[in-house]
Amino acid sequence: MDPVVNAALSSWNPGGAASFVLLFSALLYLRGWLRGRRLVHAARDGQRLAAFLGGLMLVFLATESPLDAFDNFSLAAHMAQHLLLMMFAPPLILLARPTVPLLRGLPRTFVKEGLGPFLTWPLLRGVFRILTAPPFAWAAFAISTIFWHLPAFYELALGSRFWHGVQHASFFWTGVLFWWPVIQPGAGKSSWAAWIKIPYLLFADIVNTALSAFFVFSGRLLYPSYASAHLGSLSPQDDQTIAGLIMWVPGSLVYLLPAFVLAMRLLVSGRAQVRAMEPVVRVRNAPQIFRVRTLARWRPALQVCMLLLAVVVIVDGFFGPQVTPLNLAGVLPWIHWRALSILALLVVGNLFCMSCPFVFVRDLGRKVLPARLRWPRRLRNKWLATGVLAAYLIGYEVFGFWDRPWLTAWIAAGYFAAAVVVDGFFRGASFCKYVCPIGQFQFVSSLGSPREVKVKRASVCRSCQTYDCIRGNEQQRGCELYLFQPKKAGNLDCTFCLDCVKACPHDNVAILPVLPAKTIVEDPYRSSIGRLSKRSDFAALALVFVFGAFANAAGMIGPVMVFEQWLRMLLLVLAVVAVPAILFFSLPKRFVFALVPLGVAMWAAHLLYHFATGWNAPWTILSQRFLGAHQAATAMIPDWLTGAQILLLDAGLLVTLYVGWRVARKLTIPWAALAVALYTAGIWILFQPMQMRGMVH
Amino acid sequence: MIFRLVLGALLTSVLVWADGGTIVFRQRSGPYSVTLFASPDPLRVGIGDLSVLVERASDGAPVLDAGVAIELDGEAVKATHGNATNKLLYQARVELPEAGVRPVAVRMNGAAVRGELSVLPAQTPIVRYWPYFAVVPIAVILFEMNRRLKRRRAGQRLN
Repeated sequence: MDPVVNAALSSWNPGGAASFVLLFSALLYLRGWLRGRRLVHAARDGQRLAAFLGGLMLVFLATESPLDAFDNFSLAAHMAQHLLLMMFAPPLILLARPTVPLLRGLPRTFVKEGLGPFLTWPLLRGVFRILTAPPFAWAAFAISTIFWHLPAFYELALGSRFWHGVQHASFFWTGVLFWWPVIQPGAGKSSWAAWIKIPYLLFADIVNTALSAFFVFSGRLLYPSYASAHLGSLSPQDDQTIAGLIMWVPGSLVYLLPAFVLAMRLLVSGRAQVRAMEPVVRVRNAPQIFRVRTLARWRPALQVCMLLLAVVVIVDGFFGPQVTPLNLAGVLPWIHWRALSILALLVVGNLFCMSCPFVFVRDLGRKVLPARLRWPRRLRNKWLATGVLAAYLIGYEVFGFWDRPWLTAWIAAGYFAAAVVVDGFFRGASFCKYVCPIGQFQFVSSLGSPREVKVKRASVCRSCQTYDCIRGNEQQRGCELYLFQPKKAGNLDCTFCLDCVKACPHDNVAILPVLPAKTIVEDPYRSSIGRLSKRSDFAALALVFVFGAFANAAGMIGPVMVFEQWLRMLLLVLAVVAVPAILFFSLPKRFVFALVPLGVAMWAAHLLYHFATGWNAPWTILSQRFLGAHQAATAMIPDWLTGAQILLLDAGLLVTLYVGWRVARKLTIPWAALAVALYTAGIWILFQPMQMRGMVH
Repeated sequence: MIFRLVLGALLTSVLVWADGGTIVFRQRSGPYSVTLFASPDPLRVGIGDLSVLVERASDGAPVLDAGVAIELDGEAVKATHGNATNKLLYQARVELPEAGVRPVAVRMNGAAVRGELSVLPAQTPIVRYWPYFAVVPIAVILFEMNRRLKRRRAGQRLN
């Protein structure tokens, strides 16, 4: 292939904000579409899905393909891009009747409580009716088309990224408005007569034809930028003529074909029309997208994978080069595992505990060890685990775990030994529940998780006599963390081991969607825990988690590292004096949990930084070892990172403010002030140059 | 302000950038025609993207195998197709340490063109990322509106 053509065709730019929005929209529609199909099966729903995905694909082509890469060089490429955004993508998207599937794709409570009042707000409905009324929609579309093709404004868009974005956004959204009255994707009948659509489309074609004829026949270059930046032997004037023809021919067809189809429809008999419009509906059984029991069966495989990775980390930590960027023990646990496990928590649930390799080895150890003792009563709380977590977080900074591969290897090996010893002698999952600092970290984080292992129907549990979910049965052990499913609320202490799912003879336990942080607001009685408002140990754990997030990130930035000794002292004073004082004598313990979403967000934003800048470090290490390459992983900060980090903190602050408001009511302001202060501290930390980990910089 | 917020909302939905940036200059040097693009627009202190289009002056065909280097303040940076979205361009990321008008040169295959880059002072993070910070107050306002609408609906039901 000609190298120029090859270079042109390889000029794709996926992965930007537009790609993310398109992917998110596609997933949302697909989710709503699947949910809808469980209830009814309409004759055209397959076509609608195809239309929606096709429309999104056209937007993707317009914004991320070589068309976008060449729009500064060729008016013809730019015109093709505009055509896709205005005339092809919007009607396809609207043909998919997207409103209901998109709403169905969102969490039900959010739609009902969050969007519901707006969707039924008469003012908003009135504004929407005006926007989608044929005269307004037509005028908006025509004005947008003419306005942005005036040389002054077109040049403005060519010279500024911001205005270029505004231009494309207005083309797309006025396109949606224009096609709305033609397709009528919403519920209910339009108050406008059906024949109105025909002159509506024909007049739009007249505007389009006039504009494209001007491009073709004007005889002068309308946009001087294309004179200074153009490609190849095609003159800017010829390029403009081609652009005009693209706008004229395919553009006109887009208006004339639907006008013709509508005219034919109006001419056919009413009976046939009614038959064509009648949806073919039949009730379907709910299809299972994936079975939780299948996932439970795959747990050992996940654990073996994690075990192999742990072995690799330990071996490399002990015997590999003791240089962090060159050792898997300096990279995999601190960059990849931490970031991926918290991101998994925010998207799915506690996947790390589900695939925990320590529990896998512990189970093997139990084949030899007795595991008959009961965990000491005095230690049946979170104080020990909180202390271990605090020690781990302090040790991480003081001893630089991340920068000493051999120490990381010792920690991992020690972890296996501790899990085997504790659970080899004590019953249940004492190690997970009362000792494991990673587990506690995951438990607290999972308060903000969107999924939970819970019962499907409470009525089934009320009639249950065997309680297999906690007692177990001959084939399957029950919950080792003593969580009785009917009384379980939230994700605290749940390792997602799915033993209860396998044990339940009624198939009544599953991983179900929940509102993140809901159980913090309600403070229900929790099986094996009680109410959080009465548990100082859990409050202490949450405090360590939240303030640990900020302290851990702050420990990697220059201004804090300068005053490290003093800050360590301050942290120590806080840990020893202030925290117990707050927990025992001061404010209600529940309020502490309101800060957890902000803590989760800070951990996620911080760990995302290390992951985004060092995700390729293992491949570099492996290529050095096996291919003899001589370059260490180099840090590159992607452009999207800071924005994504701020958005994570925004989300954390908003959930914290909401939970604090629900919990505190009249005392909201002091708690909101504390949350905003933490958010501000988090933003300040994120804007400081942060120490790179596991790479050369 | 409301206009900017609406624009921000629109942009988060369909956000597209021109590739290469805006044209700094287009000059001819020997057998080549060279166009230098800069991004972001305007250039500010920090990291900037400079892209170069090299064409044969005779027929305007893009030259893809020129060894292109961008010289800024006397320091040369190699520009390659690797990082460019538009693979016909040679792109380099350069550090712009100070504001002001800075001399820039593009060298390739023995030919060179010269011009100037105008660099503005850096924006504060708050200004640079304002749409991201606007999320929180907008969400709080929407939440308050949501509550008021619910209260009004409940009141209408009672009446």
